[in-house]
Amino acid sequence: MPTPNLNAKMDRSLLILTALASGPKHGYALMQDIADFSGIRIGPGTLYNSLSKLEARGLIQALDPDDRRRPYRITPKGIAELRDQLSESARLAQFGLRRLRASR
Amino acid sequence: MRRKTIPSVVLRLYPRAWRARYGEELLGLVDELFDAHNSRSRVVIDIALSGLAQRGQAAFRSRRTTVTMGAVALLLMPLAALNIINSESPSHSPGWTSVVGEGNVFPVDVPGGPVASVSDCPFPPKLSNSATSRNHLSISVSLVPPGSASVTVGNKTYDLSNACEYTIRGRS
Repeated sequence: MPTPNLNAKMDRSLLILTALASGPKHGYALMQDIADFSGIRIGPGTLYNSLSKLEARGLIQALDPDDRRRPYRITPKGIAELRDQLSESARLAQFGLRRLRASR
Repeated sequence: MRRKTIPSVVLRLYPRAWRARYGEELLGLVDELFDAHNSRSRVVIDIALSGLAQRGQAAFRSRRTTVTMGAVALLLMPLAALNIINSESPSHSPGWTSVVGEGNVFPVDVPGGPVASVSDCPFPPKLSNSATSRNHLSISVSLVPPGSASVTVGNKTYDLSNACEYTIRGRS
């Protein structure tokens, strides 16, 4: 498990899109899932700030609410954005690891 | 009961539009977190800080809009000045130099200026606006209902298609 303090600086939008990649989720399920796969606990206000921005950018879509819970799903544009960002992160990670190996 | 009151009060830190869209969902999530025995103070602090951030962003967007409009106005000012200069270019013939707009009119006497003669207009025109700036005169004439007519300015005749309103601009 990566160090939470280090990952806390990671873009929350990326975490949310990653969580939604496996299917629609409402706020509480999103928080739980993100905590499970990243060790990061996002606060409810922080989560909804990010959700509102992602929805405004058309990367996620709100579904019909179930009582007070409203699930969100990732849009095709969100999938493309997530793929691009993860590919870039992977490229950067590989580059950094190569440099670390070379410096030994 | 109190634990549900504090977040709803803190929610007022968010902009009204944001609250209307996400407020109920956020409070529902807060209730779930409280029920799951999450730290209440941490939750409340998080929504308070996020509310302030949202409000700050809304204010920034608003100010950015104002600044953008101001910048556009500043950019348009030279163009407007250029337009005035161009429209003030010397004309070899006295009277009107241009006709802008379309509609139906009767002859309109412009004080100190030329007369635009109009034909085939069955309704009396209504002078809706007139303004002078330096050497230029601008008038708007509207007619209801619309029909078809033409306007003669100097030695030129302009066809006016169906419309209720048109504007004549020219040198006075």
